Amino acid sequence: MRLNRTKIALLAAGSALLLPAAAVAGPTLDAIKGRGELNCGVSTGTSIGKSTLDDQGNWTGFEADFCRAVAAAILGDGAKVNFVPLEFKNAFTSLQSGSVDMLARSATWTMSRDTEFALEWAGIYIYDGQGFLVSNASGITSAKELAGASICVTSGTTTELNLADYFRTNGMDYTPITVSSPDQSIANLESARCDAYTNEVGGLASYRLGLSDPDSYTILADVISKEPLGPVVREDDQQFEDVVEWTRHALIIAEEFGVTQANVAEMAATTEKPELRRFLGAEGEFGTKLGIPNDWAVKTIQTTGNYGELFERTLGSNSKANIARGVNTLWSQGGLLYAPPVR
Amino acid sequence: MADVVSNVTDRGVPVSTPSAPRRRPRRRWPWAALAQQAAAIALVAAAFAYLGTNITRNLAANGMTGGFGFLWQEAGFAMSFSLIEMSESSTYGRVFLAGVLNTLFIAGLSLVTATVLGLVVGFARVSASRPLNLAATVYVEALRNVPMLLILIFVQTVALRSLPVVREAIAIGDAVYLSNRGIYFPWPEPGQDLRLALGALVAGCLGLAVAWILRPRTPVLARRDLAAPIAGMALGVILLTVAVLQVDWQRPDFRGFDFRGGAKMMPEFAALLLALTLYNAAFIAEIVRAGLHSVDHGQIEAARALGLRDGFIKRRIVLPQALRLMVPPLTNQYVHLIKASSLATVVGFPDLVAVFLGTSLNQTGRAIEIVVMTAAVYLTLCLGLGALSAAWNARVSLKGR
Repeated sequence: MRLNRTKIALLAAGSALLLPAAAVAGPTLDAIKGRGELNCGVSTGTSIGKSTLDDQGNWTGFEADFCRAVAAAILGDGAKVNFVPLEFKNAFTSLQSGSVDMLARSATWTMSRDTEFALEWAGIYIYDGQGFLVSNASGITSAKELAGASICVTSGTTTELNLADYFRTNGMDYTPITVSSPDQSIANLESARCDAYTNEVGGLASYRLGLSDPDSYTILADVISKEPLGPVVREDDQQFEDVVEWTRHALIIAEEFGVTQANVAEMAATTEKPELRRFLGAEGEFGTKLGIPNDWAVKTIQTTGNYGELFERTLGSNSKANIARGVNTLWSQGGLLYAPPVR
Repeated sequence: MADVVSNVTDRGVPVSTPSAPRRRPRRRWPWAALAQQAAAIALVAAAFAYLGTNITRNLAANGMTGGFGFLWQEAGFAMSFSLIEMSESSTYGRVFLAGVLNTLFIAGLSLVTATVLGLVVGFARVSASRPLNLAATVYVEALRNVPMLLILIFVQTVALRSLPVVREAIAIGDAVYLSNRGIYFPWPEPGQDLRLALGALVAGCLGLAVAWILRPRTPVLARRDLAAPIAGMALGVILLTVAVLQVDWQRPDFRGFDFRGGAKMMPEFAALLLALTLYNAAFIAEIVRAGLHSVDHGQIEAARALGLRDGFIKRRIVLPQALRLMVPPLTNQYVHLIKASSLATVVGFPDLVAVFLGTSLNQTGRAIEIVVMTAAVYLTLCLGLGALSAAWNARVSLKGR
């Protein structure tokens, strides 16, 4: 399994060597339409609520559904997604080399990644922060008590760097137990190889469910970083980036106007509100200008529901992870979710 | 008979020309062969040139810049184990160096342990003792026929994770502690003057070396042969004891989350070392067995007829001849071991692949530079080993006799 992942990384690097430049630089949107399928990079299928492979072989979770939303907007059918599970350390290379069209996995937007990787973050779909998961038996109640601890972390992530920054700033020492997948970290935490596992709080909440006894583990209240997570695309196709960005906006706008998976078809047919008519494709050529059908938003909402429905179903109160929405609510309700108007 | 011998060159190749002098034919340039070689070189060069321009063009098309400037940037992450001083403010260049050293450390150490275990098991395989023979056969067949990854995961999850948690570590004489967080043992207190202890250590080793050199080599022992080596050994042991006692040892002491003081062997390192040793020793044992079998049994019988001891026969008659046949396949096995040490990523030991091809690649995005540098390290190690083996082989191969 592991060898295969290493091979994928090498293949990705190898294909960057071999492919003629034109094949990589071609417009992604045309390639997706021609192929009739969206190649979407998600995490490895064990992150409950984000991207999980269920017992029937279906991908579920927030990241998987975001891929479906994009596929619905472009191709009119949320089922036309080819899910590519990627370990974090191979994710960016796979996107750069063109083996996936986009990433919808936990990938934090940072300045250096944005400027140096030739990649673009098409907005933020989850506002998260880094925390620590500890066992109740350890008696740890605050991150400040972790001086001298062994801490499990995934290699190559922002969390690995934030961890180093946090302990350096607070003058504490620690031992990083660095492995390449969260599953290994969870196994290490469970066997008390490390005292704490650090990741985004959302990720911790979902990986906590993978423990044999989730109730004897707690997420500390301390949040030590900003982790804005969003879909990532290559810089070579501005139009495709717009499509992904507006898919994110569409989910938020739908929640704002009370458009849901159940009522979207009816609303598209009957609504008199001008902004809603433009949004749902009853008026104007907004989809065509994006290079996709005019009823793109209808298809998207029919596939995944609005942002609130999507979040609650996969990560929130209707899910096993049961994470509070926190700042991931509409700006009008004191949250950070805000989308530009359709005009 | 004498005529035949004189017609054999020092490489053992019979010379085809008859012994009578004859005019050598005029040397002609092998134009066809030269043209072929030139074409081959041109083809390889063209392929590299194509790849090179393609990289540059692809990187430019993606708006990415190449180059090795990142090696001087601060890496900003910590490593759980390194042989050189490392901190969060170390550069990627230093991370590379630390990774190379960690790879050399784990590969070098398991190369030695696998060879020793392989020799022991190999001799056991040809031993006349039935139980020993059977045990060695079971070991070899069981380990040689499962993937190494499986052994590694087994060692890590079953053997090491089943050790007690650090708070309940098994204590051996209040000095060594075993837990699933590591094996803790005493280490010299930092900051003390170690010159005397190091002097005693070197002198002690010299004493033992002298004892080894002067060891009795005749198959028939006389008392006077033993006096000098025993004196050397006694001196060596005394000096080594002095070296140990001279040092202030710091014992591991449990405080907070972990033991402080002393030294610690990471369980990830122990798992990798154990797996590399166990797996490769099974193959080395088979190489040893094949080598031992290659020596004509008549020689052993002849030596026995002369009244030589069994151990002496093995060491001085069988092994030197067997070694000549063992070295080329052993080199292959060592090359495999070096490459397999990159499985460190699986258990989480920070070797070159884990910290450089893994973490550093992801933090910097310099896929091509990092893949090339990592490949170059393994290529250098394995080709170097191959060259050493070839040189040794040329030295010991049968010369015309």
